[in-house]
Amino acid sequence: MQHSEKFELCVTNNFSEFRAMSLWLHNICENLALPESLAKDLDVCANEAITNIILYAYKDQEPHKILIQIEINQNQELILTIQDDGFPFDPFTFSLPDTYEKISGLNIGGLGIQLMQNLASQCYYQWLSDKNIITLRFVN
Amino acid sequence: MKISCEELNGDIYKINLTGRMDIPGNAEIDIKFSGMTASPGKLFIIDLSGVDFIASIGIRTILMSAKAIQNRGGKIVLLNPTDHVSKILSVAGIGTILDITNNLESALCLLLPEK
Repeated sequence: MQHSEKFELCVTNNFSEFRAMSLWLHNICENLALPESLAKDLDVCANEAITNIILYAYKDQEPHKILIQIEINQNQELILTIQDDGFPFDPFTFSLPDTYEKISGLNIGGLGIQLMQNLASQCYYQWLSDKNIITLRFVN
Repeated sequence: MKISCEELNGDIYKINLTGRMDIPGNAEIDIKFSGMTASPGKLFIIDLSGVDFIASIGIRTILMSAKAIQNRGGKIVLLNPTDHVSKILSVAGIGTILDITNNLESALCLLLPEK
């Protein structure tokens, strides 16, 4: 396949929608004949990004829309974009925990961000039109 | 998710986890998991062969219990993670703080090195 394709899903800030989102991601990867390991990397990253949004982006208890886009471009790069209307926050400037040396001194904060930064080949953040937009690139 | 616990020889408990260790799955087992690992036993094998997906929430659950077990002088070994779970544990640096093995005999030796 040498053409680009784009897919879009809108979820709300509710953990109950995680399974439907994961199923959507896996179905896209399966239809594009992408490897299962890549589908799971995407799944982990989407889970971590949206968990952070749900837990930290909003100060009210109202429902908010979170837009998830997947694009596979002509270079066969897979691009995951997640957009929310929460408070401006760049997760990729968050200081990551040091390498764990022993459990007793464990800092478990930032683990989700660490996973995203290691699984994706590139991660970046933008604040555009009052939206947080994070973009993760994956090499197929 | 599903969780079960069995007692092996030598006062070792083996906790078997099955399913997706994401936020919805973790919520189904985290209280039971914490309760099982808070038992008087000190030596635990966590069998991950049935876990096909893990996110940071699942890693946190395992680490929090591991920390509690270690604080009372016990030990935990992770057994038989599937390929992708193994990758995620590696990316998270878990292999530097917990023993991970694909073999039950090795897990037992890690918990009871004198035997």
